Amino acid sequence: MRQLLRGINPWLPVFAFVTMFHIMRGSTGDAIIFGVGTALLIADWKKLLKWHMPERPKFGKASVVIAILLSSSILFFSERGGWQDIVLLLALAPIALTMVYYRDHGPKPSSTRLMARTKWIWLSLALVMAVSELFAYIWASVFKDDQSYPTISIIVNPVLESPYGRGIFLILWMLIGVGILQLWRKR
Amino acid sequence: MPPIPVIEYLAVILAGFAAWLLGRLRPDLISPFGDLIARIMHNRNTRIAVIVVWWWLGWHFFTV
Repeated sequence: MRQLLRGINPWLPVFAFVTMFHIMRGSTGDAIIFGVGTALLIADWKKLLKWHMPERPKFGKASVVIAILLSSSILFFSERGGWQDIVLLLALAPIALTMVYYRDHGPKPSSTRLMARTKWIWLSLALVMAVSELFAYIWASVFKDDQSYPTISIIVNPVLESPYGRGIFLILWMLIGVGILQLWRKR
Repeated sequence: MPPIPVIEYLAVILAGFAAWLLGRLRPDLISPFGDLIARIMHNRNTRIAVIVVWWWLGWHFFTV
């Protein structure tokens, strides 16, 4: 068993749990997304993907800004949940995956006490947020009252119904993606 | 008074902002957030997981 689990990424059990959670609550779409994510993590961990491992892709600032503005305008001019939104999000998925699927460079940076402390602080915040959202979902289901126990979706839904809200929200979401991918970080 | 979950969300957002600010002002106490991202995104498996979560958030909010 220890041999089988050697090198497992801590994200994998989290993804498996979230997939099961979405199956249990009957959210097929979310279950499929996290199920595919789980499969991708297993395939990468066990090196089941044999294709060529590329170098890290590079993108100019201008092309990223154009992509953000173009995507934002699509959401601005379309109905929420319309086919344009679905096509846009489906097109972004392989692009985003391509941008993270590259060979790791150099040795893994050693973990200092400072970095360990930082990780724990942010992990704790993420856990508190996730547990708050989970309990809001549970209480809202039990008491049939999503106004007293709103999930984040319930809170942001009115904003996303407006084209301006959708456009601005998409820009924020894509900027978070740019930050995560560190496209504009000086190396 | 706002509902309890809203207070919890706001508290986490405020704490996150404080942690981000502290990372910029006192990097000897807590690493800047960008350094943390650079550290965790060093590993390909983690990169895949983080980007799937990010994409799912977009899918969840814009298409559902």
